[in-house]
Amino acid sequence: MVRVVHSAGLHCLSGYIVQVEADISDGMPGMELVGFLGSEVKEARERVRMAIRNSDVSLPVRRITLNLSPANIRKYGTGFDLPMAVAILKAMECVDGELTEDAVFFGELNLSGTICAINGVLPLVLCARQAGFHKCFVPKENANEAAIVQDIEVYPAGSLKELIAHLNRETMILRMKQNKEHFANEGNGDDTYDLKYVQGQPFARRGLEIAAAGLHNIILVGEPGAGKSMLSKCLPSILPPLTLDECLEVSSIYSVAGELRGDKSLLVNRPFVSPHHTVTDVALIGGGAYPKAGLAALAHKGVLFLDEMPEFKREALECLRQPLEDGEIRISRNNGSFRYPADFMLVGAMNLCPCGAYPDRSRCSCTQSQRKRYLDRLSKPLLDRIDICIEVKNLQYAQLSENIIQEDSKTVRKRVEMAKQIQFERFGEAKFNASMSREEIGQYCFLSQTGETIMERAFHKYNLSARGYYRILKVARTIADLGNSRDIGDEHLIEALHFRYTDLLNGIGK
Amino acid sequence: MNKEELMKLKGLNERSADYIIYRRNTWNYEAEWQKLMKSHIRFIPWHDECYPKRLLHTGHHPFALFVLGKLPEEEKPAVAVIGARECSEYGRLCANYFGKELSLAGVNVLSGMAIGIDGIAQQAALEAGGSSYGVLGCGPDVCYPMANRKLYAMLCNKGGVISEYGPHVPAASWHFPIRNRILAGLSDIVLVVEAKAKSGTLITVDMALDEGRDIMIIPGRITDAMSVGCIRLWQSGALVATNVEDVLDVLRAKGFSLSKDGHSSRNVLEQEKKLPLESTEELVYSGFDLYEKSATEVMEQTKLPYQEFVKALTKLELNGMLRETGRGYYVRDSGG
Repeated sequence: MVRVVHSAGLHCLSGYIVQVEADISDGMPGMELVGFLGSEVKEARERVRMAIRNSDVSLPVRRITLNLSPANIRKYGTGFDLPMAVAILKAMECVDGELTEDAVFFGELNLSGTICAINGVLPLVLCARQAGFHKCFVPKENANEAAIVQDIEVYPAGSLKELIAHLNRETMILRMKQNKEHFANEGNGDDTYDLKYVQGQPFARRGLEIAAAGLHNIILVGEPGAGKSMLSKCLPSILPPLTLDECLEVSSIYSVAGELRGDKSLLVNRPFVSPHHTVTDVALIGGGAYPKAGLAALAHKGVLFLDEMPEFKREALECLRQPLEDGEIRISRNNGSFRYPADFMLVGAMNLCPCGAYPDRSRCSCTQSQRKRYLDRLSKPLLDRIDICIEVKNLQYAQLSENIIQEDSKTVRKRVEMAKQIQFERFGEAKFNASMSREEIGQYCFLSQTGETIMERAFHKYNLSARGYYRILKVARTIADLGNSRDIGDEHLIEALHFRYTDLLNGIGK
Repeated sequence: MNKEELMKLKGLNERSADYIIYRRNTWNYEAEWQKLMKSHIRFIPWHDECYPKRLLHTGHHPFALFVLGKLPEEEKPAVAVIGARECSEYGRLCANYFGKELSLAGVNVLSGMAIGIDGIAQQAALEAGGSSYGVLGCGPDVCYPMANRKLYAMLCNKGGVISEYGPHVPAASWHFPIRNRILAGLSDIVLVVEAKAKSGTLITVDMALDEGRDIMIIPGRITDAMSVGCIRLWQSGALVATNVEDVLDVLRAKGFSLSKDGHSSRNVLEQEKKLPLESTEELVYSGFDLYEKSATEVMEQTKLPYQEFVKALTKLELNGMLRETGRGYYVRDSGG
């Protein structure tokens, strides 16, 4: 007779419910698995059999057939071990079926019957709740993560033996409490990087604040050792925290990538992803026959920091153009199209020439063509998506030793959060100025008469493109928000013009 | 001469004799001449009466010149304005000033049509209505560097492009030091605007000294890498030009009659733009220089609050008074 247990599988970041059917019948003894299974799912046959046997249940010498439906979607991942085992036990009538109703099971088994952690528990449980299930059995290690989801009972299962006892109402597994403490967590972790340690750099500090307030893409240029990386690493300390929905979205991505384990069950701070410059395009945007999320997706709603930007492979950088425009990554394979959200803020750091000392000509001997070649590694279309460009200058000894107390990140963050509030109220959703559409720019970025004159002059003087023109308006809007001003004033516009991305080759070839 | 006769000559072995005979048989004089005519390139061998006399009197003049456009007039004085490719804004201003003023005074401005000082001086000379001549390290029909194609077109129309290399010969690094002897040979004075301690410009100077030409330099700050070469030349006896009149005086001493009337030459600083400015803008502008300065540095100097400083800075840039050279670095825009 057929017994059914429910589980769920992952497609990109969303789950779908899977029915695991088990049937025990006469025939050649053995175990048959069907349902378009990936190789790790097929291997479950041995794991499940040994786990059941090592949980003091002997399998019948009969033919066991397992089917995972829907059978037209390829199943992968190790989370199906547990539901398969439970389905077999149910078919054997070793466990009482009642408690398995209205429940979903996830977990990998090892030969001794222990239940091991799997990736992607958060989106799986979210999917189960959406499908109307009220209970879920998850590996102990993933329990914290699963407990974030509201309105579903989470049971952490340590081993198959424990689970059998629970299902037979012998020893009950304690339900996990709703995991709420993480929401209250306001801290932003690392305080080794705080703006109070940054001496001088008035322009860079201000530029960073504007970028954080509107989540604008930003490039920092300057000499080696001037503090570009330091400033960028301070960014998380001034970024506004994630909203609840954003938390779940970002945590889901990390869950699928297997980066949520133990205490780290929910991300409340914006992620800060900083790949090495040898990163490949596939690692950056994701890939594989069944594409996995790349680093760009892991930076969703946060920061993708590219230190020494011209040293990155050109293909890798060019891959970022599409997510920068659409806020998501689409990868097409012959078995379907995969989408990962990738709405990140790009932060780049770079020198102005290969040796880094330009424009100090007493130390820099790079020729114009060397500089041009160096800067040309960044393509125009990519740079066209940079809203803000700031210079980080090497400090003089006097400035370093002065020890003036600088504004700390907390104070800056307050202003940033105020600007965030204004933006959220204006758009009626969690959206930042950087992702304003053309219509919204028309709606919210009015210029005064004098502002129009300035803009017109700047348009001709700087040879702005249409995209460049809108970008300046977006940044001006953020600056006005930081100043709590309803309209974009001339001073806001002028400041935005100052921070615009300029051609770093300015002056070459003239 | 046949092969046997050729081989009897000193210095020719069988291979070279074969080659000479091979070239003699394959060389189509008529077709090559047509090719030159078609591209309007003049071929001037040293025995031609058009061959520049100044150059002819030097020890190492080329066998022939390929010329697109005119050759410099013999009776007009010629000054080679040369300098670094990577010039500073100060160099840019000076090259612009001397190019313009020399051409207004009726002097031919010669140079190598390179990026930087060379090109700026020639451009200024042509724009002031005078004539200028470029001596190239490639065929006269090749524009190198490509960034100067506008200047190249102007030179072909209003002045001339001179080379010892034939049509279609591409630029090569070893051509440039050799062509410098032509540049030195064609000019009466070599004016060095900016040069680093090691610079190709100094090769031209050496060659000019061999031919007994006068060297003039434009002084810069002793701390500035771009002026080190100039100051060394000064120390070893070069003349100093602080004004176009200094150059003209030397030319007069050489016997050229350069009238003062009709045009009164100006000072370098008169070139700078003057616009009416607000007081904070004036303050910010005064903080900047012809040498690149960082905005942060000037802001600390002027002690202006951030907002006011940025406002003044951006306005000055929009007015064309300042120019951003690298992110955060500005110079006074000399318009060169």
